[in-house]
Amino acid sequence: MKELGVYIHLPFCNSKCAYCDFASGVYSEEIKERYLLRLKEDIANFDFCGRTAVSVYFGGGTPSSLRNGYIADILGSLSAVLPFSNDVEITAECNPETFTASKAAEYSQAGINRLSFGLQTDNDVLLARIGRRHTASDFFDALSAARVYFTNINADIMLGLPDQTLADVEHTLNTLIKEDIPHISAYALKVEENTRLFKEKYRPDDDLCADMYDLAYDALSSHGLSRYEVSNFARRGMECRHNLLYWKRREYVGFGAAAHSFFDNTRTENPRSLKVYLSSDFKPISRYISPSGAEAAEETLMLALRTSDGLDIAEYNKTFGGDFVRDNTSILTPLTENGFLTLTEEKLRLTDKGFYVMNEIIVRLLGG
Amino acid sequence: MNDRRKKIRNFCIIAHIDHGKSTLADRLIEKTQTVPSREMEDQLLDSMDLERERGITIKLTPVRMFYTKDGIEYEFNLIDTPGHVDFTYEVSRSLRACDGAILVVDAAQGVEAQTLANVYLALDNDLEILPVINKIDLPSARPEEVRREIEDVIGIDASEAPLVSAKEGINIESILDMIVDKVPAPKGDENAPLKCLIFDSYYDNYKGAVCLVRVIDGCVSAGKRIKMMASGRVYDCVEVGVFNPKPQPVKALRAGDVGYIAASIKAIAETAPGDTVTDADNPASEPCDGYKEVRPVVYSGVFPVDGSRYNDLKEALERLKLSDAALHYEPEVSAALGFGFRCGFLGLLHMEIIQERLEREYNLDLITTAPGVTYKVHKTNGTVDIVTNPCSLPPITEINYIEEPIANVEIYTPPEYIGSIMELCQDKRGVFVDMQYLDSKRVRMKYRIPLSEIVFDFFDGLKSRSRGYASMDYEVGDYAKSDMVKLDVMLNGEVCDALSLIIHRDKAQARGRVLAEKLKQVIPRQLFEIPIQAAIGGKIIARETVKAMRKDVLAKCYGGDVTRKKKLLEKQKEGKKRMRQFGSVEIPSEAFTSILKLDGD
Repeated sequence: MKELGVYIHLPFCNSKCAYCDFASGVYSEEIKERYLLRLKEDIANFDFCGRTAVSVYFGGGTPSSLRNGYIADILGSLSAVLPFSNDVEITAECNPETFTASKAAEYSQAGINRLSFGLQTDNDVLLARIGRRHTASDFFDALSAARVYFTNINADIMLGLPDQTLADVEHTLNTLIKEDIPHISAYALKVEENTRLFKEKYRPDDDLCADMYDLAYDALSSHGLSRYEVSNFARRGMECRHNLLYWKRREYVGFGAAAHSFFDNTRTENPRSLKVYLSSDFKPISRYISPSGAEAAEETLMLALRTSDGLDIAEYNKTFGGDFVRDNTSILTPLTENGFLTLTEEKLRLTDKGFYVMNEIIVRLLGG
Repeated sequence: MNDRRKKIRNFCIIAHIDHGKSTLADRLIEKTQTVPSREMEDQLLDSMDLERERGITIKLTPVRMFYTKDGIEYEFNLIDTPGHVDFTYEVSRSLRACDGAILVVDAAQGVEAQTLANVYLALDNDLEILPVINKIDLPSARPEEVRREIEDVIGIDASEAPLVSAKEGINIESILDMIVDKVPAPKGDENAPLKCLIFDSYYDNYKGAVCLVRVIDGCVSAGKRIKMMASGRVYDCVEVGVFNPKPQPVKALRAGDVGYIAASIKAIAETAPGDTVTDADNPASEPCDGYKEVRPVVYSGVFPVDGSRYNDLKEALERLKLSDAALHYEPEVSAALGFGFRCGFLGLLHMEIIQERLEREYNLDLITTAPGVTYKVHKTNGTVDIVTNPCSLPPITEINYIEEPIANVEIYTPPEYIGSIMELCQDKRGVFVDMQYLDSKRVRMKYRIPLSEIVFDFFDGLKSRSRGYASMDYEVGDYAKSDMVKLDVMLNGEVCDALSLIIHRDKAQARGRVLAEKLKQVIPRQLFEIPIQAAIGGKIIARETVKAMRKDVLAKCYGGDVTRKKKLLEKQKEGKKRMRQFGSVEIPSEAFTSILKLDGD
């Protein structure tokens, strides 16, 4: 059985957040229905070459903002052309204010078994500051609605928001720990161009962000959520299978505007513009990556180091030839000696300290 | 005197910067219809882009014009002069080619520092000075006051000085008439042995180095064997010509003429300005006087940002040297910056101009180290080292004493700024020489100030302390014994050679502190903590630390968008190419140049 992940992009929101530069926006019902038709058509026409889905992920945008039946419709089309494994993980991203008891029932019935809430923080002032439409109490309501059907639940939180203090982060973490959420993603805010925060000239303080990371790491790991990827924490067995596909450089197919795929050694990117995507008048950007070439090696390295599992050295040498450790001694030695990396016979891993400065380390390993 | 020479007028225009010299030159060319109006560009004489942008003249370009007065057609040769202190020598030798000088004075600003400096130079060269009051169209014009100022401050008769506006084209004919009437016709003897003064030269891809000359005596034409009197080199003259204003070959240049000589000369360095061209077979007995070799006074290291472009930089310098004999350079190797050149310049402006030309015309990204001067290091073994690079300073134990060059500085200022300028000069280790009220609104202060202090942001200090009113002129004088030390900067414990300075002991402490602070701001945080130390002879006088980088993580991997991450990492990798690896420290190239201007010093 060859495993596959499926990503469905639903670029619809009820409003745009201050930090978001992602392909999403506020659109009419009519557009949403045209988009649905287009998605179903793409799914029906795709040659999955005998793969089996181990994960389906509805991302956005705000999938939970869509009408009843929308998601079920897509899942129906998908299951008609692609077999699902018995333990398939089907995730939907939800915003607290759009997630109701009936939505929970609908999702459960459609086959969804994992929910990912965009909480960001439980401080209402901060939520308003970054343009989120929900409050902390919306989140609690959504959570109790979800709990009727779901146990596999994630909450996204953000670090380094404008005006956010260490105490705010601590409060949010305590809330989530008390609620016993089994999976938490803690992302440091990156202010992208073309976002409101960028125009406001807000830039997070790196030291404060690092302190917040430390705080999150300490609080979560002492409550049994271990960090399995730089920004992701989970109880054992509750790791997000879909994300792991990305980091392990496994295959996934993305449908919808701005969706990305990695299938048959080819990375593909759909147009970001909804209009272009709906016009059918486009060619996705495609790039073949030789499975044993330098680019594949770089990708493997940069993705694997994100995970606590690290890089499998023997596997890497087998795929790409050469002797990774020997070839990179001069780069590795100062990094291991100073506690940024640990190197064993089997694995190269970032340390806790190394995780925070991962880019710099990867760039060095890539010969920068 | 023969009739031909009676109809020649060789003159130049002198002025303080921005008093309208180039505009006036354009008007004269226009009025005499030397250039068809459709080809007229503003400030025609300034042929380099840079000159146009800065509004200053760097290279000299002579222009021949014809003007008819009372039925007689006269030939005018306008020889342009650069207007900046760095180029005093260039000014003086172009003045030598003239018989008269039009002195342009701004009707609003009056007599300024360079007006005076240039007038004195012109007087030294026995030129007839013809004052002209320009910019009378300005609302703030005060022509009669300025007329008096010219008479009082400079001491020349300005009663007949025409009131003009070069910009508006007002009263330009009166200047042309004045040139005919007052500029003396050239003297000289056509039948004497050839004697030409080289006042400039330029490089032509086809003709080689071309000399711009004023023929003093005799006659020169293609085919003649000519000799440079200073260098003794002999050439076959290939072509002679005049400027119309583009070069135009003529049969011969005779005594009194201004034109060019092309003789398949390989490099501009062989056509030393101030040298005399004579007939190799019938040489003149004496060369023109006043020749001197131009020596650089300011030195700086010049390195390509991208080390692999060393050869491009080398070629660019070779090309520039062809047309700029004053530029000196020799290879230099720095532990921090790799391969580059130690370059010598006439002054700070000259340095900036060369750097800009290298970047603009040759598309190079450069790192330039702090400008320095030439020190005479007297060693304990009795020998003297000439040191232009801090890295070549011998160990302290071998040094008996050091001498540094001193500049004779003249500052012209309205009296209200005397106090703050004195403070500045004192701060710059200046020694007061003299002060004189030129009139109620103008004071001339004379100081002896170490050249190294002038090189380090003296102009900026002077301008800011006088709200831009003060101006200055300097010339490098003698050497004086001075307590100089080498200030080193250590990054992560290692001396970074490109950041070393030679500095007076009294100033080292403060400079070291500022330098360390500044570097802390420009060196980005890295994986490891970086101690920055400033040291004199191994003794640490300042310390700062660039804290270790704590966070450098990419945000969320949106929907499997690996490409975006790859691009970001690629960008980060590219950014590193602009960094200089120094031991384990990465230094952005900006760090080397940002320390050239230190605030609060």
